[in-house]
Amino acid sequence: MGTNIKQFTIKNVIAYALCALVLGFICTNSKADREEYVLKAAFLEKFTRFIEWPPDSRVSDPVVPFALCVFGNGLIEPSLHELSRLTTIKNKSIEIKSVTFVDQILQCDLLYIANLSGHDLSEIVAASRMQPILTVSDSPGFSHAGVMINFISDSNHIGFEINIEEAQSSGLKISSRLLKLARIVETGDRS
Amino acid sequence: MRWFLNLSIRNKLVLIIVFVSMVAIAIGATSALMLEIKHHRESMVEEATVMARTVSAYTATDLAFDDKKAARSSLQSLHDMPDVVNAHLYDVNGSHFVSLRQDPVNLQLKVDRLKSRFDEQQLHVYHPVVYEGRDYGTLHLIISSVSFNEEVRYYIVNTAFIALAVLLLASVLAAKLQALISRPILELTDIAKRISQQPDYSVRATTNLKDEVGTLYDAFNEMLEQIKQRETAMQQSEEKWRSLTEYSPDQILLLNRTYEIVFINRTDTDMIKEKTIGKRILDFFPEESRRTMSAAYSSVFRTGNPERYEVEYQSSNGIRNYESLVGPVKSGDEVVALTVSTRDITERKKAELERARALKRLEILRNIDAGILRAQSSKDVATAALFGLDELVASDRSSVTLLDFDAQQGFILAQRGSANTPLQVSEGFSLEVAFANIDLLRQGKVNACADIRDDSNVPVLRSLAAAGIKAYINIPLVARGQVIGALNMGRRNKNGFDEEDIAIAKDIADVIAIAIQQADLHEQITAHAEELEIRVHQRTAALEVANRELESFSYSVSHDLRAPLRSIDGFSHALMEDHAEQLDAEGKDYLQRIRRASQRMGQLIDDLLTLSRINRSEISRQRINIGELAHDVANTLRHTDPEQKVKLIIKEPLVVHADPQLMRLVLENLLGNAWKFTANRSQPIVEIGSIRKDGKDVYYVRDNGAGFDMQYVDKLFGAFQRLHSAEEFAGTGIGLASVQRIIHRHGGHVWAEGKLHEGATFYFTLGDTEQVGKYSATG
Repeated sequence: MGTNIKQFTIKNVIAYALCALVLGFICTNSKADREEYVLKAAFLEKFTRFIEWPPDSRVSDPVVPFALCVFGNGLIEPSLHELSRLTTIKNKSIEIKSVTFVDQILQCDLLYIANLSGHDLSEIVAASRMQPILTVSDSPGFSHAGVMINFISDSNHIGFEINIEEAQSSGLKISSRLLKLARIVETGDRS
Repeated sequence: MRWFLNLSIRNKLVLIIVFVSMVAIAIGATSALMLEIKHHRESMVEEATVMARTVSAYTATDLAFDDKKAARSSLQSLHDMPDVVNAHLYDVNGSHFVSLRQDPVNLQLKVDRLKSRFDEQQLHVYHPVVYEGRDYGTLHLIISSVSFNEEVRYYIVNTAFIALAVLLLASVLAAKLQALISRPILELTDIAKRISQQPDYSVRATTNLKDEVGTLYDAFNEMLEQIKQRETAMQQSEEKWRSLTEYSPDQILLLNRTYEIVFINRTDTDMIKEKTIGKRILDFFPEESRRTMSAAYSSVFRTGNPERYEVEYQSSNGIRNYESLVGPVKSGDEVVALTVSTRDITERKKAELERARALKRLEILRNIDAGILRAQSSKDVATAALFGLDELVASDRSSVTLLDFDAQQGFILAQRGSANTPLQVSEGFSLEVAFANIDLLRQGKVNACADIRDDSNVPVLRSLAAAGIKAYINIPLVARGQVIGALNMGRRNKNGFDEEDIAIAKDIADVIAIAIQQADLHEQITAHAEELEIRVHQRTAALEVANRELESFSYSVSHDLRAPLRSIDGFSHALMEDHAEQLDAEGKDYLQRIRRASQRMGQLIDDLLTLSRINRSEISRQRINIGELAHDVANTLRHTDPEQKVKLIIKEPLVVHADPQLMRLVLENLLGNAWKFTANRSQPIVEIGSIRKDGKDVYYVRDNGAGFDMQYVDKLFGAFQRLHSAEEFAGTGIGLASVQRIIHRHGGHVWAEGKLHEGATFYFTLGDTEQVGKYSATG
């Protein structure tokens, strides 16, 4: 798990800022990493395009910005901030939020679990279950544990898996077009 | 297009119909094909678009998440679709994403907005990949149009077959139906052709069509009818002219420009008996005739006016005379041929010649007559007759001789000709010296001798024979049944004298006989007349002497008697004035008487002079009103004797045509008398007027004076005759004599009626009363 977590350094921050300024999404502190996070940030936004939140949820309120939360500090955040500046989600501005406590989860429309920050994943899943919150993670096995979408990446391709069951139980409708790209998993399933 | 114009109407119609059908079919088929193709393409595009939309819907996430594998599998669904050649997917930037088949591919999408296009073999459909309004890229679908092209080709072939079939059908129908229009026209053409080849204008074209062709038929028939009528009229005209020329007594020719005969009505006249058509007319005539003829012909050709000429022609019957009239045959203004009508005028010519000769004979006879009338003597008559005779009957010698059979003596009145005889004109001779057959002549018969040598025993004839005379005739001159002489003629020509010569000579001889007798009579009458003339001259001369003596006597009387009278009167007057106191009353009375007597004598002399002047003076008549004249005279009378109040009644009009001087004298005398004889009346009335009696105007002067006893009426107008004594009424007794003289000189009469104490009326007429009457009527 910890191997995937990148260390935050001054050097990285400067490189990223430069990258963001000059090259946009493409840049990260390590080129491959930076590309990866930019893509993933973009993926997050793209996911929202093919997913419908329940009509009575906060997402349907056009006034309230779309709350994109990052649980635990993650290297993806700069990319997300960049994203929020450049685009909208569901025609609404994007508000990036850092969440470190489970009870903060309810403020989110989309929760990207960067790291657990000492919390148990089940806590987070339980807190978000039955809530109109799209949960995304980037750790193997998390989808089996109840996270709705989990990135699975190989050397040259970023893929993802979807736990339809979890999504449906939260009232989120995921487009079949998205589904056809994903590997479908179920809670508890270990294939 | 010329080939088309030359086609028959049948072929034209077929061609037009087929052509029109062809165009219609071509347009129809082409537009149907175009529609079909368009429709086909549209449905093809539609199908392809549906396919593209379906496929593209599933590629949005492929593109969004850059999943080429997924994209390929999405495209894979097109793999088994027929006709799909290829499919390319481009991302939102137009960059190539994936393709269904790995054909060479453009890495950049060139067309963005174009939805679909056909190229030669393929249909290209571009469809955007959109999800919820967001653009993810473009799907480029390529469909093969080979099967479509196949289908179009098949369709075209089909259509072509159908069009061909329709065209064939149209051609067949056209060939059948064109007859509806062309057949009547062709039939009409056929009839027209037949008529033009073999003119029969009674043929009629029949049709029951009511359209323009029907009208054409009617017009054609109408035209035929007109042509037929014209033809008939022309035939009649032709027949008329043919008959006119055929039965013309003249020979009628038609000549062309080269004077060749192109028509001749007959050849049975003497002239031009040979076959003549096509020959030059001039060749039949001698040179001089040719000139006359060709001059006439060329003149007619030139001027267009008819000409006339006469020629002679030597026929088998001798010389014949012909008169020809040449007329122009015009075409417009140009003379194209000549008509020559020729008439045999030989007989007419002969008749004319004879008439001319007869006229000549008559003229000569008349000349002889005239000569004879002019002639004073029988010698002149004979000379004139011989002169004229020479022109009628030619002779070498002619003579007129007087014959006295009792004395057996002859006398030559005149002779003429070159053959001389021993006898001379005016020479008397013994008959047997000159005549062979005296008894024949005595009986008034002609002696004609054809050979003078038979009578060579007669000296004169012998000498004539010696002068070359061969034949002679003696024609008796018979006047009042008596042979008074002979007309003798001789000829050197041995043919002698024929009947006609003798007839003419006899005519002349008769004229000569009468003329000679008349000349003799004339001579006698002239002689008598001359004798009478001389006698008249002698008498006239005697009368003239007597007249002159009378005139000188009158003059002496008037002149010489006046002097002593004046002396008597003058001295009586002187005696009265100078020695009156020495005379007693008786002496004075005597003197008075002497004076009165001398004055009366003077008056008498004046009246006598007047009377003699009346006899001599010329009468110059003019139109005068004797009423006015009477008025004038009355005024003078009243002036002379103012105490006598005479009532003068003038009954006008009294216009006469007479000598005014003499008429004044008449009125002076008549009115003077009336004045004088009404002197004793208490109411003297004198009336002058005129009455109409026996168609003449009779003028009268009436008074209610002393009148006269009608038993002395005869003495009234005698000179110096007086019914009343000078004591009773003054007067010389010459006045009425003068009146009578004047009236007589005017060709009129004067007479008087009266009764003693009851007045007198003097009537007179004037000659030339008609003229006077006319004047009075118009005046």
